[in-house]
Parts: sequence; C-alpha cells; structure tokens
Amino acid sequence: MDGSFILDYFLLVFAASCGLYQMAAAYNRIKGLMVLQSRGLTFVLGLILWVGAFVWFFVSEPRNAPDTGAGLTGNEQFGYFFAGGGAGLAVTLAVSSLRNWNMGKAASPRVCGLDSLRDSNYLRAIYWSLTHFLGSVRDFRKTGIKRRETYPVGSQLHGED
Amino acid sequence: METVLAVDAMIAAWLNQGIGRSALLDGLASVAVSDYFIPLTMCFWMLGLWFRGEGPQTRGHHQRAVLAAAISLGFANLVVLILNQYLFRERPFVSMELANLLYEPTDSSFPANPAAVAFAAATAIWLANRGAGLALLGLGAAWCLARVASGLFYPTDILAGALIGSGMAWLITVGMRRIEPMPTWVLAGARFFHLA
Repeated sequence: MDGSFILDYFLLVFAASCGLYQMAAAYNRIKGLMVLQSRGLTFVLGLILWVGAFVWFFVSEPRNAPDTGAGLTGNEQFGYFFAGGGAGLAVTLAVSSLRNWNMGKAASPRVCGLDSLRDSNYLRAIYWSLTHFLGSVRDFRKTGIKRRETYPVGSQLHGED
Repeated sequence: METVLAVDAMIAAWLNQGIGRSALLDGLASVAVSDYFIPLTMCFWMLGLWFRGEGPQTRGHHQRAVLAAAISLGFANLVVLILNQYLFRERPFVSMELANLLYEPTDSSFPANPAAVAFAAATAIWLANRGAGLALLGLGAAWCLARVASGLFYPTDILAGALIGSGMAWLITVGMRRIEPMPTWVLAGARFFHLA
C-alpha cells in the first residue's frame, strides 16, 4: 500500500459518483435526490464534480503505474469502486434529505422505489416503507392475514410506465 | 497462421508510429490507454443507466441490463484468467521496438483482458438499449485501439478478448431470463430501499 494511490482512486470515485447522482437526479426529475432546487444548476453542479474529479486525478500526478507498484489491481479497482460509489450514495442521500427536509411532509409516498423520491426525501421515504413493512409483519402475526398490497414493490417492475 | 501473425505485428507497428508526433495527442492517448479513465467512465455510464427511465418498467429493463453487464464483466475476466494459465503470448513491445505510453506488463497478451471486460459490459447494455450500448462499445473500442497503438496488444488479442466478452454477455443475458424471478427479487429488494 506504500506509495499506492488507493486513497486518490477512492476520492475520485467518491466525488465523481456524487456528481453522477446529481446529474442523474436532475435528468430524470428525481427531486428528492437533488441538492439544489434548479434542475439545470443541479446538472451543472454534477458535471463539474464529475469532470473536476477526473481532471484532479489525472493532472495531480502520473497514473500509469503497474499494479505491482503504485497502481491498483483489477480486484482492488472493483472493490474501491463499490466503496467510493457507496460512500457517494450515502452522502448524497443524507445531504439531499437534509436539503429537502420538508419534501413529502404533507403525504406519505404513494409508490415505492426511486419514483417515491420525486415527491419525498430519502429519509422520509425509507421511514415510511420500513414502518409500513413492520406494520404488515405485526398484522400478520396478530391475525395470520396478509395485509392488502398497497405498496407494490415487485409488481410495478412488470407494470405500465 | 504465419500470415495472420505477420499482419498482426504489422498493424501494431503501424499504429505505434503515431506515438511521439504530438505532445497533445500523446497526452490524450496516455489517459485513454490508462487502467482508470475508460473503465471508470464505462462504469459511471452504467451507473447512470441505473437511474434512466420515466417509469419502473423502463428503468427495470435498464437495471436488469446493468446487472447482466456487471456479472458478464466478472465472468469474462475469469475466463481470460483461466486461459492465461494455459496460453502465453509475449507482448508486442517485447518482440518489436515500440514506444509505450503505459508500463510494461509481464502477463500474457492473448486474449486481451481489457477487450473482454469492455465488450462484456458494452454488449450486455447493447442488448437492452442500443444507444447506451453503442456509446459503451465506442469507449471500449477506443480503449482497445489505444492499447494496440501503445504496443501492449496485438489486434488478434483484442479480437479474441472481444469475442469472449461479447459471448459471455449474451450467455448471461439469456441466463438471467431463464432464472427469473431471481433478478426481479433483487430489483424488488433494491426498490424496497428506494434505490431502484
């Protein structure tokens, strides 16, 4: 690990993935994931983060090093991509939830999946789906009857758009 | 066979002549040839496709393709790793005097791992979304071209890698349809956590 640029690679993936999530949220109108109100500005912010991360990585020092030296093996790249992308996702979900704290306060999300983030923030959506799930489990234990499907997790995958 | 190898070496040497003529082009080529720029751009492209789609059905279609691409990429890598235990071909820069923009790898040149990995991902996406797949195929082709021009692979190494990758992507895509509803369960799990 001495002299290796694992940390640089992790930071590159982290920053670029944060940028990508913002671009994806703006492009696909997923307002609950956006950290800015304007779609255009959110997209530009994402693009700056993505491009900036790559420019910093390649300009800061030479990166064409073998994996027997400072470079990363394929497995390391795979692992740190998931770590950096996951960390970027966690930060994006947390920051966007705080930025859109009141989003979805008036009504619970009516749908599951990413679509719920069009009119609710992530923390509110996950709180709602977990309480709904625990309520279903409680009902089932009490009555032995499965709660009516009001929250179609799987069925929408084959449904109409 | 002799003719194929001769043509192979001739193409690699001809492409390598472009190196050292322009500092700007060399700079761009050294980024394109690297282990990080194009592979990461392809991964981010696929990550972006995960979110793409107005509704759950279109998005689910894209997400299945991304899952297939990730699995294909892993299996293509494994096939190349196994083949490398039995086949060894020296890199072009070993047998010819060529300029190199990367470093000097010591493993086998045939079949080309970058081609297998890039074409596995690109083909799996192409089978689901032609536009997104073509962009990935373009990126993969640019990566492979840069590697041949840099004296790291012969064109036939790339061809073999691309065939392994594309074949694996096709197998995995067909296989994923056969093991339904497992992919749907995976996506349903991600949907429960509002991530798909």
